Amino acid sequence: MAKPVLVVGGGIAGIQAAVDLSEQGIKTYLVEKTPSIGGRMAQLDKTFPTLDCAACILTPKMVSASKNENIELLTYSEVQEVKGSTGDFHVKVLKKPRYVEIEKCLGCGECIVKCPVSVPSEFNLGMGKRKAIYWPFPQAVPLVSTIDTEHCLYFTKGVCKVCQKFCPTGAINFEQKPEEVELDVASIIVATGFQLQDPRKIPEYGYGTHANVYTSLEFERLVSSTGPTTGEIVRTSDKKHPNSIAFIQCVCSRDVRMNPNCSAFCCTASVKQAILAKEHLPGVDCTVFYMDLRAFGKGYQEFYDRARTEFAIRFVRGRPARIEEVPGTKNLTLTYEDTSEGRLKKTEVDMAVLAVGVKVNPIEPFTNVQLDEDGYIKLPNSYLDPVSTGVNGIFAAGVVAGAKDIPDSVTQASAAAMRASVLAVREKA
Amino acid sequence: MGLEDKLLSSPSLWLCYYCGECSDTCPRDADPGAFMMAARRYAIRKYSWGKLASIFYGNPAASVAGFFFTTLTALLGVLLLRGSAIFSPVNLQQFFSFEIIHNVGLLLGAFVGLGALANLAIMAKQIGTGRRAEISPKKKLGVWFSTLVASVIRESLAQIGYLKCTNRNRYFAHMALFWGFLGMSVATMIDFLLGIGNVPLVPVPPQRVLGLASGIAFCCGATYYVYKRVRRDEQHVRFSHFTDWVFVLLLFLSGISGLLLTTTLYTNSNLAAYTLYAFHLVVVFDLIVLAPFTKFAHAIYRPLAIWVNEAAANISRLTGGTT
Repeated sequence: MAKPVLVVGGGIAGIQAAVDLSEQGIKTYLVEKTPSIGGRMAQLDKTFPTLDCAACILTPKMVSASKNENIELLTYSEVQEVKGSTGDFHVKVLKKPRYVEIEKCLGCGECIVKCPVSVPSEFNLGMGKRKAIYWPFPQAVPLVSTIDTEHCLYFTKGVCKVCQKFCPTGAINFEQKPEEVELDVASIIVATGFQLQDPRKIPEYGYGTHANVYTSLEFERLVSSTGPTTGEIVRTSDKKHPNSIAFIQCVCSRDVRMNPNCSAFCCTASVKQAILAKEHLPGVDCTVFYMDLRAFGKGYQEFYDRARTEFAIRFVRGRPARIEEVPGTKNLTLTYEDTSEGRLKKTEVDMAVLAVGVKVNPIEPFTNVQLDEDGYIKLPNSYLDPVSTGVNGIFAAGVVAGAKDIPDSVTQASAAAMRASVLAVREKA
Repeated sequence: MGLEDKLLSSPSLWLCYYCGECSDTCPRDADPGAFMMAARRYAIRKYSWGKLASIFYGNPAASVAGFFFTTLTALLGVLLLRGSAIFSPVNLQQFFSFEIIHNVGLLLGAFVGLGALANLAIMAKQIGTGRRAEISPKKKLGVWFSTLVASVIRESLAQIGYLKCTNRNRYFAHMALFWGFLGMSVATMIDFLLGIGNVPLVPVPPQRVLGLASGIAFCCGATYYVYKRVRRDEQHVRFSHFTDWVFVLLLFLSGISGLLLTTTLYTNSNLAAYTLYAFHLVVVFDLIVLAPFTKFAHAIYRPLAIWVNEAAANISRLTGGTT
């Protein structure tokens, strides 16, 4: 009988790897530190270059991961310690208490409706609200609510308990304790993904001080029907539709000050966002300010060409030097050089979207796995074995091993699953 | 790339203070600050009449040869034309006649003045090729004149722009150097006009107080510049071209030799005094004669650039057009 495998990280790469492993009859643990699997892809509206609905292609895989009898989902859980060796790893995982019992929760949502506390939603990057008892997004897997003890009235002040009162199955359990489990696995796949860099590191762009400067992910949430504005592209400052949007590339990427690497997907992602903006607001003026437009994948160049010809999106080669806010209207003035003319120009736009670069999530418990100087997992044999970390039996997939788009993440995940399965089915290590 | 004319016709080159913030901020480590400095060196070569500056900017060997020639001329002049060196008290006038210095000075002044004007004319012509007819000095003379007065006072004399540097010491050092230099020139001119030869040590006439104070200020500034280039602790001094060192060292040596010379007059150290005097004459000769063809030339190019830039902006505003 095959030994189990651990997949750390419930984004598209982790999900794909888990599904691939489980289809071979291998027991797979999928550990995800947030309450739901889905990762960054769940926050996207559409994917490039086909403009497929991200949730429509992701959720079947998420459901597959939750229903497959060979996959054990450990959500809202974190890896604490990794010991052992190839073929025989011992991993300690801490299951954080949701204070809701997974077996009993129906996902009816009454607790959420009744909860009196509203706080900013992390999934919507602070632009929308969620309750103190919540699920991160409506398609969450597992669809089980989680209590945020920092804001829950019971945990902060000892009162309320309305959720418990209205729960039809009595799933709310305020006495729940964190649970530590030990998993013995033959191999591990690390697919812990990324966040965006903090664009406040470039103060001249005004993120955080100018109301209408957004990150690409924030804009994605605005465009999404599950977002804080149900898909209406409106400015936070006055709730009006913008007449002009500037997309600025290479923010905190290719920058010697904090991240010298290219983050791979942002050029095509911004092209996508500009196209979505045009679809949502037909009259909007979209301009993409870039250094090099990197459309490296299959169909990406055609996608970019389509943006220029079919959607009349303007592309200006020239990084803006700074973004200033116009007092009163809260519009933004961009100062930039149009390098095709060699002239300094200024332009006023209603909204600016920064294509912020990748910041790899830390992998602290994996003390033996080396990182390269940019924070990605080091792949010692990156040409002939691009899923192997330096530790035999621990594999990497997705952005944690290097910035890439969704197709490449999925490919790498399947490759890692293949390699991980070898150790699982082998008699000896 | 065929952009030489565009580069040389742009006054913006000379508006830069080399604060270095562009190089600090650049996300691609392109060091635009160093590029601007290199472009200025290029411009000095190109604006120079008869390509004289090319000797001093060409390569260190040519530069050394050029300076060697100038120094040799000065040294020969001093050695051949000197008088006697009496030993107590020190008598500089007798050692090297002030008449000669004044006459040579006037000749030098004429040479330097003409050289400076020639170079300025070349620069002006270059800038003119990039300009539109609407802002030509032939029209709007009034604006050109008023801008000249305003920009000269604000930027060349008060150097207000320098105050914006994060490192304020640069402003003070430059003011000390600049006004020290002017102060010494004024003091010397007063001596010249009053026909004063040897200066009495006590009581010290007022123009000598001015001269001494200016000399000290000058030395403070010059020392700061040498110190910074040795320390290399900021963007603008991270790299020193040999022309930077030549300029900074000439300033420093002329200042220090002058100050030490004044000291020796009071301590009556005759040998030291005459040696320093000879040395001082040679160094100052090098510095002044070559001024329009070395880094010193920024003193003429910058004011012109600022003037043109401001006049163009003022005219643009008045006529409602864009430059």
